[in-house]
Amino acid sequence: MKPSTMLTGCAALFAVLLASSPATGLAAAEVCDEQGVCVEGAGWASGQTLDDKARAREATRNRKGKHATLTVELGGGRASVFLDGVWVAPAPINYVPLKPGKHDLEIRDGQRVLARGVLEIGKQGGDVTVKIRA
Amino acid sequence: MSAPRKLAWIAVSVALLLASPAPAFAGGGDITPESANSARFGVEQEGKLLVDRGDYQAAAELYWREGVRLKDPVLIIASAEAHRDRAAAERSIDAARSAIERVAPALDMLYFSRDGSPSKAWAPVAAEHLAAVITRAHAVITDATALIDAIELEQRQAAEAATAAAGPQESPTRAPAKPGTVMIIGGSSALVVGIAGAGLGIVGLSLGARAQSQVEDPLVYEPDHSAAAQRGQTANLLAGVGFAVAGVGLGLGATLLALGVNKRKRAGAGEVAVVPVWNGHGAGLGVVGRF
Repeated sequence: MKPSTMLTGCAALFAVLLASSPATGLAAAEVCDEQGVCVEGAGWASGQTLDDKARAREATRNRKGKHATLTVELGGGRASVFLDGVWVAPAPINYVPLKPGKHDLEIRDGQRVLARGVLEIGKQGGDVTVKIRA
Repeated sequence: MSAPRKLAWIAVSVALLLASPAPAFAGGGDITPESANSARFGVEQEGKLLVDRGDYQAAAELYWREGVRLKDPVLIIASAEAHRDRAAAERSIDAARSAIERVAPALDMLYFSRDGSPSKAWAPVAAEHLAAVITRAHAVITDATALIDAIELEQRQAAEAATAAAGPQESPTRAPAKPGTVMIIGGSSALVVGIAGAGLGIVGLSLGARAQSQVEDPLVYEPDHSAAAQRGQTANLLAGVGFAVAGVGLGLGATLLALGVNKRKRAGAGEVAVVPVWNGHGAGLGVVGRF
């Protein structure tokens, strides 16, 4: 195979990988999904959940990590916040401490799910903000 | 320590650990339906005492505080039920609205437990009881909504009864004027103007007569003679204008008055009459009636 053909193939593969990967980067900038959920300070895999096994694995892996904080803001209405399968409080919540790693977050008003996904918080911790548009 | 003794200590420790009640999440333990029932029991007993005393508000606050602390939807529903019962007892719309607001987080928890991905570490309600607890929560909303409607209806009825008891209100609008009223008022006004004009004319005549006598007096010399002549001219003008106004005013007034009175008579009002007046100093016509 010629070097130029190989280079073109690699570039195409890279482009395909970039296009197909979900928006789970640990970027500090705000990222919004199609549900109107905007996350700042962590990666966000919209629609995904974790099971207890994965939660336990993440907890073990990150038990010595720096604390991060989670803030959830609602654009309107009311809802409850569920983190790692447990009810936290009625929204909004401010600076709830949590460890780095993956955490599944769900925000719902009764039967209506306003946000569901997995937060991926970097080792450095920091403030994570989730905003739900009305 | 010998090996059998060591074993005995371990066995006692394990037995004590097993016998002690499970910590209710506040201590970091899992919440199972059994542990939640156990933690809830004391709170429900205390709340029931408050409800029996009629202190629904205190019961609602107790249930809410403990429900949030224990992450227990059943206690949160109990809080909403206490608000609903207070609404029924005190006929309070605010309490009924509080009941609806309070039950919402419980429904979030229950639907998450049913449809979401709850952790096994948080299961305050057994899966087989979720439907029944959801129905109980919705019953609070239904009851509170019905109470709000009923209390609003009662308040409307009470307001209407109070209005009816106060008697009919006087109409702020005046009754329409009787026929001919405008003409009678206009005629009367014109008559007054005419009489004033006549008075002016008489004053003018009087002043003119006095000035005339001074002008004709051979003992009045200049400049008094010219001044008297000037006063005479002014007085004559005053008399002319006064009598002209009197003529128009009296004529117009009498005409309008007569027309107005006739109109009212034709309309059947019959409350105005033109009557002769004599008071020893003179005679005239007077209008008697209600305007």
